[in-house]
Amino acid sequence: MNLGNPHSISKSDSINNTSAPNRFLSQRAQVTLVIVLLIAFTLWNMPQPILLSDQETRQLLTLGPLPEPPLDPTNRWSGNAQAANFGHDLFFSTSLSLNNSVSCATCHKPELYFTDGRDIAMGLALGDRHTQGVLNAAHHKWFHWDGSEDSLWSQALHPFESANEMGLTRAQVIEKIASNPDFLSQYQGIFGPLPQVNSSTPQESDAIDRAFSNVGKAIAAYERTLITEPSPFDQWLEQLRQGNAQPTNSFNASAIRGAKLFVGRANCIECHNGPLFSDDQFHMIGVPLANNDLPTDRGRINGVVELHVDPFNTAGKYSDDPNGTRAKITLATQSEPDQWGQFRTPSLRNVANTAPYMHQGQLNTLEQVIAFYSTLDGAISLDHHSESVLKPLQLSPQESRDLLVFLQSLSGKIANSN
Amino acid sequence: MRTLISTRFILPLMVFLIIFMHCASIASAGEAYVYEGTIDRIAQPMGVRFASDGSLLIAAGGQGLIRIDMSTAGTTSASSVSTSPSEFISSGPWAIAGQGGAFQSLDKSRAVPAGLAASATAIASTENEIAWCVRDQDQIFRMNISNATPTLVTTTLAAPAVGGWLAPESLAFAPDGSLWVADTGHGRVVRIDATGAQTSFGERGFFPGQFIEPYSIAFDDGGPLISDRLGHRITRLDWSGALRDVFGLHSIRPREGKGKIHYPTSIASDAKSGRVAVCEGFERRVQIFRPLRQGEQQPMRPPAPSREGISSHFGVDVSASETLVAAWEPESGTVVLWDTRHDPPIYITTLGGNGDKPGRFIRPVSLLVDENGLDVWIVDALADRLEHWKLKRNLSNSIAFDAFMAVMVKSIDLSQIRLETGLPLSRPVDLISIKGSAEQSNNSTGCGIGVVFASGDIAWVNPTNDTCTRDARPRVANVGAARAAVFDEAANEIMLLWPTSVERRGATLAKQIALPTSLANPRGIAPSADGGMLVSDASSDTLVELDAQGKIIRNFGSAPRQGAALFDGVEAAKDGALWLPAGVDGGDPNAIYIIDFGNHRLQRFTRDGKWAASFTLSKSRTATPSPQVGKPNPAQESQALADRQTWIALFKAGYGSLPLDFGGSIKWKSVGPLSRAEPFALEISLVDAAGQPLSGYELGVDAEMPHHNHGMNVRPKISQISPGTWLADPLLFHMPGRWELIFDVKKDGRVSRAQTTLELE
Repeated sequence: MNLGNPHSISKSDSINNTSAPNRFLSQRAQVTLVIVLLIAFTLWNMPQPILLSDQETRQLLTLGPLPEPPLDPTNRWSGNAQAANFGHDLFFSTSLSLNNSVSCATCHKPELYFTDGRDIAMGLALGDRHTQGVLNAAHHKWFHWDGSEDSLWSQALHPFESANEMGLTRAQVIEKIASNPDFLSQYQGIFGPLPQVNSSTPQESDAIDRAFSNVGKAIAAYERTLITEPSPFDQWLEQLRQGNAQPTNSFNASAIRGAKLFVGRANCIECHNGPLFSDDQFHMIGVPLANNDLPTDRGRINGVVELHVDPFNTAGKYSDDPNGTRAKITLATQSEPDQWGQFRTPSLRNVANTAPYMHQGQLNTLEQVIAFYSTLDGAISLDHHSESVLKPLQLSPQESRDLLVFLQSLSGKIANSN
Repeated sequence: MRTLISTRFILPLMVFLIIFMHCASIASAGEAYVYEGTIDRIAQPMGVRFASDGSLLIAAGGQGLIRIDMSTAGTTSASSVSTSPSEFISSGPWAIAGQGGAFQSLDKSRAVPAGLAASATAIASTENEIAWCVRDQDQIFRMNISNATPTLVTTTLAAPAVGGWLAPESLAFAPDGSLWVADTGHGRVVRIDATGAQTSFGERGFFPGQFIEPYSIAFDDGGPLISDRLGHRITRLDWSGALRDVFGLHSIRPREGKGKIHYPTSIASDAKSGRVAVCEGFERRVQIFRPLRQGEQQPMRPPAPSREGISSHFGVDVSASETLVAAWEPESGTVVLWDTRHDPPIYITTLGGNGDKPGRFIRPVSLLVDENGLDVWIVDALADRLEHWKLKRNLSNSIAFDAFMAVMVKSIDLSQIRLETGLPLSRPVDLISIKGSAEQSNNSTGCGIGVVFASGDIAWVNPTNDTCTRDARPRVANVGAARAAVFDEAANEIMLLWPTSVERRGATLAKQIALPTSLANPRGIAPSADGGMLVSDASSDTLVELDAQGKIIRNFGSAPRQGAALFDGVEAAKDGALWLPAGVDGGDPNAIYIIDFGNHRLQRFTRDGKWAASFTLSKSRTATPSPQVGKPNPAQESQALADRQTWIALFKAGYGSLPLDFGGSIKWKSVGPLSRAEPFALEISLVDAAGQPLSGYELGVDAEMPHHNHGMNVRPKISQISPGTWLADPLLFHMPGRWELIFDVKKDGRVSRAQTTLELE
């Protein structure tokens, strides 16, 4: 057909053309056009076969499944059920706080996927940063937003002594355990005798530090059991491993498009990689603070300093593997000026259940997070020149929706941990 | 008519809306100081200080001292106090203005104290004490003047503020008598209290509480206010050194005003009124800030600048060959390169970055590109280092950005080098020439890299064996104070640019050529044909060509701006116009390149004076766009794929061998398999050409990701197993992507580098 022939159009448009009725297209051409449009419309609406490149498939397969949490060689009670039970009781006990009303679960609420739903954590008083979750945490190598702790057990100790979290001294923690017959017997059953602590004994000693580290190790043993079951994404991934990339009921075409973006153009996998969806490293992405506040949280640069002075780090005397790989990394980690304002890449497992987001909880929804990466609107950069990994992704509305659906598919049920 | 009516309604509405939105946006996060006004159109403001009556004194190059009566707020009724040239005004009761020993007391009852060193570059005082710094000698002096015989004390830096002073720009006494020093080169501020105890605050960086170039210090009731020249803001600390806040952040484009600060230098505060004056030589103005009044609402802090829309700032030096032009960026400590075979030139790579280890820069003050367009020499004034970088550049390939293009070959610690006279050298300030060709450099002596030192020497560093020979010409004691220096190879003369003349120093004879009076602030110089020269001038914003006698024979770009137009930023930003022009280079036979410092760009002119192109890292314009040189071709693309496979394979293999510039080589192999995010160790050996181990060297091992502008998060421990063999443990590649594995071997202050690419999938 000659639809595209300009000559025929100009001829029929001519004012002086009196020889033929003024018909834009012949009847035959009109019928053909309708048929072509119908076919196109049908094709447009037919489910598209999902095409994953080899590279995409290979990269997606690195994102799961999440294996069993590893044992922590720096905590010899890491896989000990008795210690985990004791840790459970400690985790939920409000008695281990200055006013007997704050427990680990105050900020790590099971019903909120062990987070608190707040922007900034609130223990005895308002804290400095947003609460991070505990689920699957045993897979991490660094703890806290700034990585100031290098083990799950040393991480669990920090809140006891923080003035705006639980507000005790380590001697008071030991005293409170000694005064609770159930805690005392559990402690002694696992770790042996608890040192005497009262007003007439020294408030700081190696024995107290040892007992305090044991408290952290019990809590860590419990926290290691806090895991989630396979997510819809994990289930689809098993199918993909068998060579079938087609959508499932719980992981639809939109989620697959989102997955392709995740490992492709959006390149989320650059930092959110491995089965934990986190490189366990520290980056500054420049999310603006509420009220346009001046960013003053030094993040990782201070975290490294705190790590090295912490007596409970994995290279210290309370570590059960002070010469191991973990300790070696800690000792080799250095404070560098470019760590200013860097925070740990959070895991994206269960991310849809753990709003708000970022180290100050600045972003309330996943939609806002995706919009931030899409535009980098307001991104803080006091530095003019540093080339950043981050470029505005400029996602289309459809792409943003796909990415959201993919992120929502990363949640699994909390596994039953008695 | 309809359009007119609607415009009449819409415009006021928009204005109302903007004002309303502005008011509505007032929130808790505000600035401590508010902008009060600008003292504009001062050609070269250099120092500010409040007099006891509250008036403001401004030291202005070419104008002398200007007094501003601050009681008639809003007016700038300048009354000239003096017409002598002045670079700064001291802080404290001993009001001294001056430069290079030409000091002048502003208080008839207080004479300039005898004993004040002529080399003082900043002065502070109390009733009983005067302190000053000598920037280029890294020294601080204190003199007690309460006794009949003044006692002079050299202040050294002790732990924890280790490292000595590095190019301190200024100092000030706090009301409690403590002395605060801007230790500029280290990016920190040091407090010395009455007992002599020292505490250091901040480190080099862009973030709140960090400094890039702390420059000048004043005080308000709560603590010190520090101007950060390259951080473009004022940082307020409390008396314990903790960060209070920052204000004035940040003028993004030149000549933005009303409280946004750009390149602040001198800062002064007035205890009575609370006013703060900030001197911005770059903007040819002084801005005045005042504290919030009681009950006054805090204005909204301007948003922190995002990367969007920020232009690059460049240093004052430029070097060009026929295919390459290089400039440096003081804030990021980098050197930036453009391919000039295309019009406009194309940004191809960046090298370096802030830091004090080899391959990084503190102040890369001068650079040279060889005529082959492949070798780049950079001298760092504060690290005392001369570095040789090479470009992995295939001139037949298409032009595109490549973060991996530049690799450091070696780094020479100039402070370790002795002249043949046995004298040490320190503080290199300029590179003047690569004498001889690259081929000669590789094969013979009698060629070298010309380095100018603040200590007064000009020396030629042999690029092959690093020996250093003093230039045979008679010594110029204050050569470091010259505005710029360059070598005219055709005439075998060193050209020194002084404030009012050009000095040509031949083998036996020196001659002075007076500059035209219109060039009152010359900044850059390059030789041109027939004994002529190119000179840039920041007082008239011009680039001119002079003949051998110093007569202007050509003006480059737009006609010089005069009078009020000199301060017109819009006119100054047009193509071919200049604002504070600096370094100029004629190394490309077809073009002249100039740093258009005030406009944050480089410009290219044709030899006959016509504007050809303006360019930055991200933006460029040209008069005559040229077609792309060397389009991407399939061979190039398949080569890139093959390279990638090689790097992936190399990572998996975990061993390799790399040549070093002096003939030896590095052999490395991993202990155990390499994998991502897991620590690994490397066994490394250094061997000579015959494969025999080389001893007496130190080894450094590092890895970087040039795409990401960062390296590893761990620093490996290097332990020697046997002479010439080491174990580096642990290394850790925490991200997928392209890594550069770097080996530095060091002996006698000279670092040779070998590096290889590894790719992690």
